[in-house]
Amino acid sequence: MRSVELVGIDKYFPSSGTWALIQARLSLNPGEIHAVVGENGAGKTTLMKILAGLERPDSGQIRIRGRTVEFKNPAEATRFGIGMVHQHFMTIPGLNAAENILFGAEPRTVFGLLDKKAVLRKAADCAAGYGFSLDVRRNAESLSVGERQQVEILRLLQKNCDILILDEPTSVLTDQEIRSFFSVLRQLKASGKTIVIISHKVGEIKKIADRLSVMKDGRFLGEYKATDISNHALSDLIMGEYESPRLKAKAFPPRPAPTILEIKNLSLHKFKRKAHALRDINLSVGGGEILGICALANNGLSELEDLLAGRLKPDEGGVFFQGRPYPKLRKAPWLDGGIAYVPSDRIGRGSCSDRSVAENIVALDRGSFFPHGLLDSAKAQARTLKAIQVLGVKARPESKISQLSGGNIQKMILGRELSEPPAKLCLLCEPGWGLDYASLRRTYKRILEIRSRGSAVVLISSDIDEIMELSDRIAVLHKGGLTGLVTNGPGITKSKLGALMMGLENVYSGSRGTAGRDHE
Amino acid sequence: MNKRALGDRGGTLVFTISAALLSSCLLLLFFSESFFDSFLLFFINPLTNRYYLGNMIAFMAPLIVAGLGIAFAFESHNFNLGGEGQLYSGSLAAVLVAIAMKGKPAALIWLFSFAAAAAAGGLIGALSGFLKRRLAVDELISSFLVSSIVVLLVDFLVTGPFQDPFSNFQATRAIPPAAVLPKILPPSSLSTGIFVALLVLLVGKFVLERTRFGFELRLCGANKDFARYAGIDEGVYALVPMFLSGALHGIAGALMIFGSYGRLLRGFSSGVGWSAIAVALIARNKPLALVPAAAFYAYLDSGAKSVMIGAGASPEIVGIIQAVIFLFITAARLPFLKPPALLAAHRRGGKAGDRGAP
Repeated sequence: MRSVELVGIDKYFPSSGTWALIQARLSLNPGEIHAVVGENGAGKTTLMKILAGLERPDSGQIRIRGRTVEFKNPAEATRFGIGMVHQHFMTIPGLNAAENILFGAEPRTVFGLLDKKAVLRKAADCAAGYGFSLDVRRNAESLSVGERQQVEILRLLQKNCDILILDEPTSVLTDQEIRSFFSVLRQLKASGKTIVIISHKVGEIKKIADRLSVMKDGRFLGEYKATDISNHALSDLIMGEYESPRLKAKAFPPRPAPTILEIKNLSLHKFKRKAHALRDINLSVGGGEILGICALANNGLSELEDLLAGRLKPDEGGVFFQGRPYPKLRKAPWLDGGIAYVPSDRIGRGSCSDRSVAENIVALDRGSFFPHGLLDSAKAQARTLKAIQVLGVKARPESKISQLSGGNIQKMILGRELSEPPAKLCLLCEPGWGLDYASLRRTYKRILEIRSRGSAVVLISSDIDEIMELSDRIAVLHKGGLTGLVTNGPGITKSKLGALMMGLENVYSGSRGTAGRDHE
Repeated sequence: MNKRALGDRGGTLVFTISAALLSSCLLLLFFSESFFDSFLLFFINPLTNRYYLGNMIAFMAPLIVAGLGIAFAFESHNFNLGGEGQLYSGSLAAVLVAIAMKGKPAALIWLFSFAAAAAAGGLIGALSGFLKRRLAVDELISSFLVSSIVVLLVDFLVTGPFQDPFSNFQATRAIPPAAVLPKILPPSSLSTGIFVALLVLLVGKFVLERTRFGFELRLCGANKDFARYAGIDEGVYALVPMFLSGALHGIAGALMIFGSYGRLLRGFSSGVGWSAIAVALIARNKPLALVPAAAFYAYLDSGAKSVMIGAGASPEIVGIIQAVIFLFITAARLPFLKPPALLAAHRRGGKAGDRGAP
């Protein structure tokens, strides 16, 4: 018997006027890893939210082990053993991992108080039982993204969920974390759990999934055994088209324009109880150049982002933009002296979730949308429509950001920050996050175009493929210090960068002065 | 999703209003001799009796203006709990200026008195904004504490240096009769002050919704990190909205003086600063919604007073009913009384605790 069958599911969102699902279906076998694949906005997440009881379908049937059910809320779905881990983790800071895992079902003492010992014991047993190497005593804030994901999964497991839905589980993980995550998945599968992964990363799906269902524009396209379909055929199905993955190979301009961003002797001693968050960083980026900066999690990448975003003040050294101290308040990228900035925190920082798409775009350039201090709605509308078109955001100017999928929010931010005319300096943090294949291509193309028009691009990313594909030079951070500043080329391999990121090698020759652009 | 959100909102509002009405009924049942008479006095009398109807509409004026002040603070994510002190001190400033300008044309008196009221209330509000910006003092606490001190200080001034020597009341001298706003519905205290209130409301709505200042203010309130990202100096929006909030409370106080009281009686504001919070919460900080919200609040207040006078209920019952209404409204509205963070995040699909209570 199928463990789950969804048949003829329709879902209409009146607020955005779109059909998210049209006669969508899905069937899951017990004990399999099943991938649901498709572009951003294909309806994957909506379909899964329906299965998890978070959304209700307009029509269609849900059958669990042959029984037709109707979920009014997630708790009812949980009773049928269905649980979902969302794209954005919901660990509660201030509680430890164990309390997060048992949230809402904590063991109590006879007086009805929280039994902290029992909480720790129960959570530790649960983690050990499924082969997780998580220390449940640790505080939620101190957990890495991968560990927080484990907390989320354990939370479902201790509720006896045997059908686990994971929304884009690998998008936030580093390569190593993905490997250990996959072994966790195989272990769960071996213990009889059914796992659904929402994803659009073709390579990964083929590695881990047994079967896959393809969705496009809210419709079900087909169901395949992972071994039966080639990578190319699969991306053809998802995109409806196939482009060569490598855009690169444009030569680095021989004489780059003068330095645009310069980081001099920058140190950040203590940050969030971490000693030496950043140590003696010297970097400079010229016009027409892309500098990729990569590191494993917790090695200074986010601190560097915050410094360049003006959120942190360095303890030593400084940051300069076109020879002047880095501006305190950012101007919109399309203004003179403006800086484009795509933050890694797209929901908290890059967008305002309870405001409309139009307001999120207008917010960046209040001067021209509020001539004489008063709103010019026609102009705001025009610019919004343009930005939406540039990267194909599936939304209307008046849609609220909270109604958009993660990938669409990212597209909105990219559309806004990379619009015409390009900024002199583009600070792009994890720009490819959550994007489907076609949008990723379009984004990369645009980044390279902006480079060729003389902008300096700083690409901060934990995705090595992205770094290798786009960068002219690559800087590697380990424990807050530079372990490498290399020119990208045939000699640069993933394993080479990996060794630098893990601090196994150090090829950084950078004494001050020569540490800048190595091609000069 | 939009529809559901609206449904939720409407549902809570209906629940709040019916709970407030129902509990008022229950209190009447307990505290009055004849329930039926009291019921009529409470619910019907304020609408049919000219005197009570006039007073009810008159009471709306300060509620609307002070409610707008609260909206300015809340929309920028500043919690101004010092409305009472700002209103009280604004009133004193207005009265003193009006008395000093005795004999001048009424228009001039109004202009300077209202400006003085706005300045006095505004400076007290801005003090909390300044403390927040400079020393990271929570404005919710500081505005409340500063206001408590200011109320005592004004009490002292009214009963001491500025006490009217020829009056038995604890009050200042009266403002020049020429400066009293024309009455509309005698013998009630309804005056043209209600039009002033509506005018202030329209200006406030325009500023909040159509200007760059209002846009930046609301953006800072919605997501400070994004506002900063967009290049807005969020420090300005700790200070200025608190000033405006206080200034509007001061104007509300001046309206009560010039419209109804004619002088500053000790304790005359009797919690208008707090009621304004309830009104703004019902209206969800939407300027136009402040009018029906103020009407509802004033209606219940008027009803309670009508019972007090008509059926001999003790004055305390008025206070109790107001407190109960306030309790219901705040319980359903205050942002930090949200469902547990996890649930809320579930619903929004956001990160838990990404934007907690202030």
